[in-house]
Amino acid sequence: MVPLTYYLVLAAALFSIGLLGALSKKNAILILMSVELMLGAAGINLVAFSHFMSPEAPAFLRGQVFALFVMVIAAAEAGLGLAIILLLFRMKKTIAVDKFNLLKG
Amino acid sequence: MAEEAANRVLFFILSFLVLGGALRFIFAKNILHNVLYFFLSVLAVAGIFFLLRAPFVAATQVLIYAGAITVLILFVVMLTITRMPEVAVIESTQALAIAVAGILLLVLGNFLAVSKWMTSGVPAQDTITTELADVLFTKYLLPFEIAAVLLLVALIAAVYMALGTAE
Repeated sequence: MVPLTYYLVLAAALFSIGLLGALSKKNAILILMSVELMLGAAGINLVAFSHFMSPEAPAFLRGQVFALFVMVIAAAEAGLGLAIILLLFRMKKTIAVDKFNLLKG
Repeated sequence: MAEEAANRVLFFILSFLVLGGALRFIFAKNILHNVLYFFLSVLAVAGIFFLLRAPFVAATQVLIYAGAITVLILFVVMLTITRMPEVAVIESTQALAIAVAGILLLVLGNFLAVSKWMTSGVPAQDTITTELADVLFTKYLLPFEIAAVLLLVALIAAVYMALGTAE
């Protein structure tokens, strides 16, 4: 079967791609989607580790329970982030993040 | 070992879909294309969870990411459509972002490839959902309830924020 390292490298690559998107996009929705990709990569890591390190029944469920909670928190954060983006759009009619510089000195 | 070969082939197909979808998501021009490649990428991540013998986590991934989050994002894209700026990325930090992500990937990949992981050589069993439910509702009951309260608070806050100015 596929060794553990392949899954970890896949998760690391997905995390780096998400980080690239989060650092370089101008649209706030795209930044949020890149953060969701990073959270998905963390979920792959959790389930892969619990799958490979402990094959008996109660122990490898820990990683999956952890991944489920990560998904719940990601959903809550995505909902709140999108509500904030809607409010920002109402305020300024744009969601390009370089236009929001009210705190700039 | 036909099963091992099939496992490897599926893994490479799914990882190509995950990483290809994520890369096309980064470099797409139209925002709807971005959302669709994100959808493809999270569906392939659910396939990876199936390969890791976690069918409940895979189904939850499809429901939450590919279902709820993608639809929410599509609604917000619909509500905030403007004349898009000519350049979709912040030029001044684009090269720095690629450098940071590339260095992170190289360092992480090297570290992961050379480490000796203490894996048990035994292949894991298929996850039975009733066992997962047993553990979730007895041993992890407190985080489960806290997550439920968190979702309730997030829902109330999102609805209030989205409707609050429509007085």
